[in-house]
Amino acid sequence: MKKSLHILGKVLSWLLIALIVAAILFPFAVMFFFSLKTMSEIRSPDPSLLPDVAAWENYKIALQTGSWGQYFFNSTFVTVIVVVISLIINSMSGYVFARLNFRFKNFLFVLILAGMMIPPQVTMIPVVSLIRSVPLAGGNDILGQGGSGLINTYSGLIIPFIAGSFGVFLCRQYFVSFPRELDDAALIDGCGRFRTFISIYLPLGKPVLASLAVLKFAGTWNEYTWPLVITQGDAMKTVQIALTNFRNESEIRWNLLMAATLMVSAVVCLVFIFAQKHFVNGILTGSIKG
Amino acid sequence: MKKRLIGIVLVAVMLLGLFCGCAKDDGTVTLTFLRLGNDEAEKNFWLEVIESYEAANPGIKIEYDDAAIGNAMDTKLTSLFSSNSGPDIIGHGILSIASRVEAGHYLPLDEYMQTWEQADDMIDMLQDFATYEGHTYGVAYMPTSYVFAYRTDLFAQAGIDAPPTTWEELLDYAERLTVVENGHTVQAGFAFPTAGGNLVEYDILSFCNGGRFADENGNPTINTPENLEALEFMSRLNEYSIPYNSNETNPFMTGNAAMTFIDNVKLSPMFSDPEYADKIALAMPPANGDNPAMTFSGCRLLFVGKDCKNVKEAFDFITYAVSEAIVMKRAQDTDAQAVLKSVSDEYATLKPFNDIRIKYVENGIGMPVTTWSTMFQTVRNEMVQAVQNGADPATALAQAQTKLEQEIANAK
Repeated sequence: MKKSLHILGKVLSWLLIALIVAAILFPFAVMFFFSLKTMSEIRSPDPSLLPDVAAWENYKIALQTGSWGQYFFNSTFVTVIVVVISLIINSMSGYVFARLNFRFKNFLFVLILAGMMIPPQVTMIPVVSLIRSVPLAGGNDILGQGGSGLINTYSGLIIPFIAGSFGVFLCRQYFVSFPRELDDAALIDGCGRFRTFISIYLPLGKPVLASLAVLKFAGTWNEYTWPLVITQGDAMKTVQIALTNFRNESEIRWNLLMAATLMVSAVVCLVFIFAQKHFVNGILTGSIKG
Repeated sequence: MKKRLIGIVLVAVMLLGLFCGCAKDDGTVTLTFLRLGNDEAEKNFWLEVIESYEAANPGIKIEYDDAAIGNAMDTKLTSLFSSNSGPDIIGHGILSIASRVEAGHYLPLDEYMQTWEQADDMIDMLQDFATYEGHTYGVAYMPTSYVFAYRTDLFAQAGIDAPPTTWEELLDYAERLTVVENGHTVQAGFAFPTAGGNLVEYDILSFCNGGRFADENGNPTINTPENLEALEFMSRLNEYSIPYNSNETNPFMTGNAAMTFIDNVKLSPMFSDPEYADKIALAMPPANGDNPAMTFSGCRLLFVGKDCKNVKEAFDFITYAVSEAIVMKRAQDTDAQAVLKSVSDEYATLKPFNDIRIKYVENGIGMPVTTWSTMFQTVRNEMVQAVQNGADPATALAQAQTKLEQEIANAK
């Protein structure tokens, strides 16, 4: 009786997992099948999920609609730089707030936490003003007037994302859980603060850094509004903005849009798959520590 | 390790510095141009126009940009204008005028219009679209008229030899052309959407009955006898349509309707589809009584933004973009309707049905240029209730008027 209940429980849990997986995969399946349809199939008053004949050429046509090589380069360049620099800044800031003592430390940390509670839409216009008024950039004078500043530049796309309240908070919370004895041992071995951070905290902080890297990658890659506002023309477009290329005056070309969306989202999926082992290992390592 | 980290930081800083860039002041006037809509044909057209303009005006450089139809354009414009970084030239729709003028985003162009020789050549209706509270703020470049389209082959099969010119004929033909199989309408006699955010088909019927949505002072006139009669007539047409959302494909495009009102640009692909090219025709919308045949016509206009420091040059580009040669190029490249009286005859002979398309521009009425035009969804919702859900048309229009007035009062 107990054994059959155990088996029943297992079967039910597997069924539940299968249902959740199906619910997650279903939109991707719809996206995939639509990417292989012709527009007349999509317009048909008698809709079906599967395409009559797979139109693989939709992927080629989608990539030929605009400069997709440039869009992918822009997104990749911006995302990689943002991830690398934000990891450096966030981990250092997290360490400072976790271990160093200085005046107004708690006040400053609360200020940073407050940043997490303000939606980005609220800060967008002030940030655009700041980016436009960077001195000596984009034709600006020393007072930041007269030109376009960092608007329509890679710097304009990168700088607002390289630091963030969430990253600082995450790293600080992780580092603060380390035993103080680690710092004492490092001090006895002659390490200064910077050396302690580099040699002790960074290696032990891999789990949180891996998590932050994946989150930051997905967040930057998928960012839509900021590149929309800050870029002008094809040369600086990112992939998310380029997805709007498939909406013309008369209709949305759903088949091409779905094909392009699959390719764009595949990058994030690939990054997660490659980072998954480190990501999961890191979290497991962190969970049994201390 | 320490050296490596310092190295990474330095490389990152160098990369950022590399892309900052500092512009040189070589006397070139640079104008930024942001246009609503980002489809390939339109974009290529504009890039060619810019190239030819720059070649003719060596001291001026135009930086082209576009944003997709929908929220993207307004998100971008509002953010840029709010941070005093707005584009110099903006290509946007009628609905943007009142709200953006009130926000101070568009500059009045009266001074420049007075010196522009071709100003009077603009089709009168289009010039009205650009006027708000007595001032001219834009120059029309792209009318988007709704046309009455019908299937000649289905008309012939039903023994009808000409398109309807009156509402009685429209109702009669719609009934005769509707095909019902197993309780389902498989061919609509007259197709129009009965749900969704847009119902300009009603506007056309109203205009063809002498109805309007605003008086001379910009106050809403929704609940009028003309508008009520149009709504009642539309409710009667409902049984000859196939239900669809205004965001979905019109059944006429898929061969499932004999007549419809449809955006001229949306219909364009059908004329190049071998299956339908010689089976579709255009006509003026059927009117009621002695009222003239009118249509709904949206319109894109070129505006000058508040942050523009070279208004004269920006206006010069605008006038170039609507010059005779460019208007005809536009008609040829993108099937756009002409905006100038002087090219009407040439435009009429360019492609089949262009003679009717130009009449649509001349007889097109757009959304009222008022701040409350963006609240018009309230009216649409009530119309849908009347047409689709069987609500009393008189009550629906009265509610629409009341709710709209309430919204206007709340906004004030």
